[in-house]
Amino acid sequence: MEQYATLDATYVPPAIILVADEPYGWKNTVTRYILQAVEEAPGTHVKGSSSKGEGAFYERSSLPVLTALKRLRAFKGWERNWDAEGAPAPDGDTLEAATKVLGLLAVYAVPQVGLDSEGRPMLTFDGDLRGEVTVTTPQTLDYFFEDADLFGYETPFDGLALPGDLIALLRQSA
Amino acid sequence: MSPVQSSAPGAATFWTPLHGSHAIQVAAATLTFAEPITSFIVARISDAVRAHAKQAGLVKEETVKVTAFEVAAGQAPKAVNVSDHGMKFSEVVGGVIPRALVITPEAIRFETQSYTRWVAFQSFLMSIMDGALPIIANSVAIGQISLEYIDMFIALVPGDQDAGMILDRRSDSIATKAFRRRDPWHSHSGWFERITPESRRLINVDVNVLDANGPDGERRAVTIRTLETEQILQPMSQRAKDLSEVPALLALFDELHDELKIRLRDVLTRDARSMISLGT
Repeated sequence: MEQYATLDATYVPPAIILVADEPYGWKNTVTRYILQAVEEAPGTHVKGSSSKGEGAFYERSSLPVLTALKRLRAFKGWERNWDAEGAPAPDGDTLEAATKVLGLLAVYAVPQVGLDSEGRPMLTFDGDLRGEVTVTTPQTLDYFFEDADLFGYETPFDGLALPGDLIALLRQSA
Repeated sequence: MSPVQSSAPGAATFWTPLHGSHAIQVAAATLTFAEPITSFIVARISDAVRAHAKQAGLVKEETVKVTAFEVAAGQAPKAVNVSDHGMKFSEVVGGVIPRALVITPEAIRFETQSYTRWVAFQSFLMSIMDGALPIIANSVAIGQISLEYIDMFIALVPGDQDAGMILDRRSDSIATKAFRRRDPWHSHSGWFERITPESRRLINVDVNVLDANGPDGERRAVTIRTLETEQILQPMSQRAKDLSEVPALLALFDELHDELKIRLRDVLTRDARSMISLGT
């Protein structure tokens, strides 16, 4: 998966806020403040927009969560018997719910994504934190973290928040 | 069960959203104070959010510097002072900063280049605001709240690819005079919408069609920056007080998110909307 960094002059990089643009700061003063991070400042390579006749640049890097998201969404195109053992096709709504679960998990740690033999999206952790979360339907999920003695079966998922005990484990492990 | 997309739209032959399944390069939420807070309050907020930020992977902590420039007519800007100016928590992956949380005397800003779903972005915001907002509410009024997205589509092959496959030239958010299919151009627009007597919304829709240099060589690219800011016109108003509470603040972010989706949809063609599952 590729990540394109800043491309044009309109982009405001992190940590840069033009104080003079804020209502309270507009006092006809000659001083402008530009905030900048000490080291990395994504966007400093941006040269300008096309209308000025200058080139724009982008860079690429891999971000695991975006790779996982792309892979998860790619499962939508998989048909029945994708494993040559008669597995059902993944359900589109369940996959969409899984993208929400992925996003919520990735706030703490990025899982690997796959499908189980029932064609259900499965998000797996294989580092210091070992376990898996399976999205069984758009509204339910199973999770299984043996080392931490944490299990949940057919746990309701409202699309907004992970189960509390799972969040606690993720926070503890982060 | 959702239907499997059996055939890609025509535009997908020539263009791709940035991340294959979505086009969001950057998402950022900013809460700006009505007046600058002291370094002591910045430190208190930083202390209150540190644990959450670090648990969420923003493990790198550094001081933000401010550079003051003196700008006088007819002269080049001159840097006159550099000083500490807040705290930045960030995640670093392979040299890029996918996520950063910045707390300065003027504002709190969270920005991500690894956006997946709104629910995850909002969940992190909530965990930060839970810690920060009580301190802010006791110290300063809210000045403005904004949410911003930059979406990007990249041409798959070199050359003057047709931006009309991505951008709808009939959109009223694009300056039709500027619109070119095969040449670079930009159209930036911004306006206010009055929401309540105490607040108004600043809306920006900036469209750029330009050539970008990268590892694959030069490619035509389309970027769409959508920004919506609620500006509190009366710092002591009820609206300002309401937004000092986490539920009201998150409800506002929800609303801004929904509206920005509509703003983006309004400038895209049916094919482009389909590529990023934005409805057709």
